[in-house]
Amino acid sequence: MSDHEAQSHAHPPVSLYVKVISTLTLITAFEILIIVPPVKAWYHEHLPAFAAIVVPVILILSAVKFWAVVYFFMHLRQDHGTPRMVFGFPLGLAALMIIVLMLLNGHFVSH
Amino acid sequence: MVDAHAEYTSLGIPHRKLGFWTFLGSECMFFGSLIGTYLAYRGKSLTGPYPHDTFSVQVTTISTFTLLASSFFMVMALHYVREGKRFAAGAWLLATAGGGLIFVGFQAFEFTEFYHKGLSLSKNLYGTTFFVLTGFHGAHVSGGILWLLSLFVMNAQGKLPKEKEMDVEIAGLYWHFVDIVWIIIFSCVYLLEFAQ
Repeated sequence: MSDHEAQSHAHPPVSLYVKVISTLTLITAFEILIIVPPVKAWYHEHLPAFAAIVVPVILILSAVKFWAVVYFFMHLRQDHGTPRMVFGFPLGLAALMIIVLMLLNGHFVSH
Repeated sequence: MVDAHAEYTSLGIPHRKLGFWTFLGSECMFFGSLIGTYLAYRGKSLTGPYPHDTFSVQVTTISTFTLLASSFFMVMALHYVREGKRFAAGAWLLATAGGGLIFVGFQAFEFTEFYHKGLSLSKNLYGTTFFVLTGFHGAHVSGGILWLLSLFVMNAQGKLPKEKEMDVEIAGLYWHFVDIVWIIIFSCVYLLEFAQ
C-alpha cells in the first residue's frame, strides 16, 4: 500500500467528530455567556481581572475553534505537508495584513 | 476507500485536493482583506447607526450554532459516503444544506432589520464594511448550499458511490472553510462589540 493510500484509509471515527463538535459548542456557549449584559456586569464588579482580559480570551477561544475545525473536520491532521503549507502561509499573511491595516488606521496605538 | 479516479501529485495528495487547498489559501487572503478593513475602520463612523444600535445577540447566536452544527453534519455526510451508506449520506447532506439555508435566512432577516434601523451600504463606514464583509460570506454560504444540493441529487440518483468520496471531501473543505470564516467574523465583528 502506498503512503497516500495508507493516509486516505486512516479515517477518523464518528466519536472524534462528536467530541470536537461538543467542545466547539461549549466554547461558543461560553463566548456568548460572557457578553450577556447581566453576566458582564457581574464579572466587571466581582472579577475585574477577568474583565480586563475578556477580549484576548475571546480571540484565543476563536483561534482554538478555528484550529479545531481545520485540524479535525478539514482533516489537516492527516493532510500534513503541502496542504498545510499552501493553506497556512496565506493564512499567516492574511493575519499579518489585518494587523498592519489596523496599525495603519491608528489601532493599538495610545495617543 | 481511496478515490479510484483521483490522480496523485508527486507530493502524495490528489491534484484536485491540492488545487482546492490552494484555492482556500487565496480565500484566506480575500476574507483577510475584508476582515482587516472592517477592523481598521471599526469605531470610525461619524454618523449612526452604530454597531450597538443594530446588533442582536439572539439572532447571531442561533445562526452561529446552526452553521457550527452544519459543519458536523458535513463530516457525517462524508463519513457515510465513505461507508457506502447512500441513504444516511443523503440525509446528512440535506441536513448540512438545511443548516446553511437557516443561516442565510437569519442573515437576510438581520440585513432587513439593519436596513429598517437606518443602516445601508452607503450610510457610514460601519455599514459599508459590515455589509461587504458579511454579504460576501453569505454569498459563499449560498454557493455552498447549491453545491451540497447538487451532491444530494447526485447521491439520490446513485451517482455518488464511495469511489467518489473526493467529490464530497472537497465540498466539505469548502463548507468548513465558510464555517471558520464565520468563527472569525463572529468574534471580531459581534463578540468584540459586546465585550468592550
